[in-house]
Parts: sequence; C-alpha cells; structure tokens
Amino acid sequence: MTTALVLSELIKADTYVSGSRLAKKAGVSRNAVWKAIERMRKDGYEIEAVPRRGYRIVSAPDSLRDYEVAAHLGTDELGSGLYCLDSIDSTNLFAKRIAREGAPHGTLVVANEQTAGRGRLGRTWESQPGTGLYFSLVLRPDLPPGDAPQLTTVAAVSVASVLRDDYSVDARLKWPNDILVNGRKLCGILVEMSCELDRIHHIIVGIGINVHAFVRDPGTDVSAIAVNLDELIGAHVQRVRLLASVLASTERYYRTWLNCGFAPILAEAKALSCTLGRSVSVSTPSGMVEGIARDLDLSGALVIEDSKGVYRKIYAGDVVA
Amino acid sequence: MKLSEIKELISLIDESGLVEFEYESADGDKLIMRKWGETVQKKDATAPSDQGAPEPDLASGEYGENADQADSLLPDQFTIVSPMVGTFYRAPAPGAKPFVEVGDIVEPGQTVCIVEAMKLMNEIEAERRGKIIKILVDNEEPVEYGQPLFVLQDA
Repeated sequence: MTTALVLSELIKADTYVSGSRLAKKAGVSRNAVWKAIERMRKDGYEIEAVPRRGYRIVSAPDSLRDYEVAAHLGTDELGSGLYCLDSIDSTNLFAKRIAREGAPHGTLVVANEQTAGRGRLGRTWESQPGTGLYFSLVLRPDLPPGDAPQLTTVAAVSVASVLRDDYSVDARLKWPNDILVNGRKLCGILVEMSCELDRIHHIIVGIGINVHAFVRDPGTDVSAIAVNLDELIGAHVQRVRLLASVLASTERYYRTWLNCGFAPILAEAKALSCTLGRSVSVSTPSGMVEGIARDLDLSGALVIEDSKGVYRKIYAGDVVA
Repeated sequence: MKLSEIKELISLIDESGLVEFEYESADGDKLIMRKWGETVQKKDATAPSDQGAPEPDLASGEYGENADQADSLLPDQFTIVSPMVGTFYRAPAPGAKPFVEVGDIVEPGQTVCIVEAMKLMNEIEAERRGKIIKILVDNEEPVEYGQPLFVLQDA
C-alpha cells in the first residue's frame, strides 16, 4: 500500500513533493518512496523529479490498478474491500461469488474488461477492454427486502448527479435506472439481491458507464442509441477519477436513503426523469402498456395513465418508446 | 388395513379426478391422500379445489391465503415464498432453461427463481433441501409479498 499512499500524496499536492515529505506522510523510508515512484513509472506514469523540489506527476495512465483506485477513493465504507481485476466474466458475478463467501459490506469489484458483461434477464452489456468503467458493490443494508428495489433509483441518482455536477453533462433518468443523454445511453445499472423473507443477505449493485469510444466494425453504428463520456465532454476522461466521484456520490445518497428514507431520492429522480410527462410504451411481462407516464409512486414504480384515464402501476418493464 | 388394499386405493385415486381423499376405518386407522404435481397442474389452475394456485387477496390488502396454504401442507412439505412484490421468472433469461422443474431436488442456497421489481433482480434461493412438488406461479406473473411460489417436500 506504500505506492497508494505515495500516489495519494502526489495527487493531493498537485505539485512537487519532496521525497522526504512523501516518506514521512506515507510512514516509510525514502528508499521505499523511490521504489514506489519506479513502480508507477513502469505502470505508465510520467513523473518528473527535480533536485531540491521533489516529485511531480506530469501525466497518468488510464488504468485501474488497486493502488490507483485506493489512492483516489475518498469514501468511508464503499471500497473498504477492493478487487481490481484486469479481466473477468462479469463484475456482478464475481461480486456475487465473493459475497456468498462472506465479503463485507462496501466491497468494491472493478474490472478493466468484462468478457460476459450482463444486463437484465440474460441481456449482455458490451464491455471492451479499457473503454468503460465497470464495477460492482457488495452492500448489506439492514432493511426489509421489500425496500431493496429503491436501491436501483438510489444508484441511478448517484451516478446522474456526478455526471451533471462534475462533468456538466445533461444526464437524465430513463425509468427506472438507465442514464441517457439526449436519448442515448451512457450508463446501465443492474442490481441483484439475495435475501430471506425478512432479511437481506447481500445486494450487488453493478454499474457500467461508457467512458471511451468502442472499437467498432466498419458499418456498425450505435451512435443513435449509445454515447460515451469522452465524446460528450470533448476530452479524455480518466476512469479512476470518475470511479472515485461516483463512489463518493453513491455513499452520500446511500446514507441519505438509510437515514432519511426514500423520499428525498425519489424527488431527485422525478426531477431528473426523461420518462415522466411523456407518452410512453412500456413492455411488461403481461404485455404492452401505453399511456402518459404520470408519476413515480412511493416505491419508485412507474404510474401510467392509459387512454381511458385509468392509472396503472408498473413494477417491472422496459420503456421502449 | 393391508398393504395391497392401500395400493389399490392409490391406483384408484390416481386415476380419478380427486385431489384429496380421507379414510378412517372402524378400528381407528386413518389414511389421508393428497395429489400435488403435474396431474393437478394441468387442470384449471384457478379451480377452487386446487389448493396450489392461490390468487392474491387484494381486497384485504394482505396475502390472506398464505396461512391456509401452509395449513394444508403435509408435515413433510414446505413452501418457498416471495420476499417482495414483483414479477416472477422461472428462468435466468427468456427462452433459457428454468432454474427448477417439478421433481427436482434442490439444495440450500440453490436459486429456484427470480422476482424482479424496479430492475432489482432478486434470486430466490432454497433455504433447505427438498424436492419441488409444485410450482404455484406461472412465468412472468406478478407476485405479492409472502405469496407461496413453490411447494417442496423433504428429500
């Protein structure tokens, strides 16, 4: 963890830091600091060393190594356990496996690549190496399982507010948990739970954000349905920074949810919704429901007014138009 | 009562439309037979005689039949119930093989179905070992809190 401490000091300072100061802050020898700097250089960091001034980061790679994630995280509970993987089938599947073996609340799983990224009901989530931010959290809230579906909205509001506040992107929520910008998908969320009748064992919150452009076969054009963050802000986003911001936001909203209930989160979700007020078609297990999306009820369910003026609540479905 | 007589009774009831049969002999021997499983399932699932396909009691706001359901179980039978309001899925994806079928033995921790609400996928696990003898809800049907989804038998 020496490397994480050294990196953390260099990031905080954002200018030259002397080797002796780094050693003191990290509680290690100057030789250990030098080794950490060498390791970071090997991993792609450009670090300037100026006599009598010290070290300074000139440029950082866009990687998600454990010491990099640890150095950037500013959260108390989320990320307290950390798995940074180069390639995995799916971060949700991995998180589920370790949760079954007792991984504690707050454990974070982040991967550079998912070979079998998953969406709802067997759908896939495209996850090319190095292009997106793919991570999952193991949460163990002490709540009745019936309250757990609210967590999809908590996660969606957490991510959307970071995109809006830190990246100035007009992120909107498509009910219940997709994040769109001008109708194009930027982020998907998959929440999975294991519980008993009155007790939650664990909840896995999986979040995938399109950060860089995918490599596409010629002739494939997904620009109408998907978008990436680089394209939206016209710059190269460093995934580890985005991860740190999203986790900080998620921790804030998660605590609000536990301490103050769902109402404040629901209010934000309504304000950010691009579904409400529109004429929509929702594909549900019991068929297509068409009408005007009027409201989200206290549990987060979508309330639709059909052509006869009848209000219907939808707990599961896809807004298809 | 002789074993051969019991066997004969079983085959008679097996062929009949009866789902329940009770017999008490003069000397106090009592015999109760109930049918679960496919024979019953193939009939109208909402028929009142079919104890296995309860409808949510929306009027009372609670799942009223739940207690009756449990009462009608044999001592070696138990149910798996839904921990939340949502949609019931028998398979991990449309068209995929169901998690379990009638006759399967499930182990503790084994996923038997998914209940979804607001895109939270709740994988319902068996808490104890048992043989699935009845699946009470159709795929993609809405379910209520506490609604029985499966009847199992100790195995």
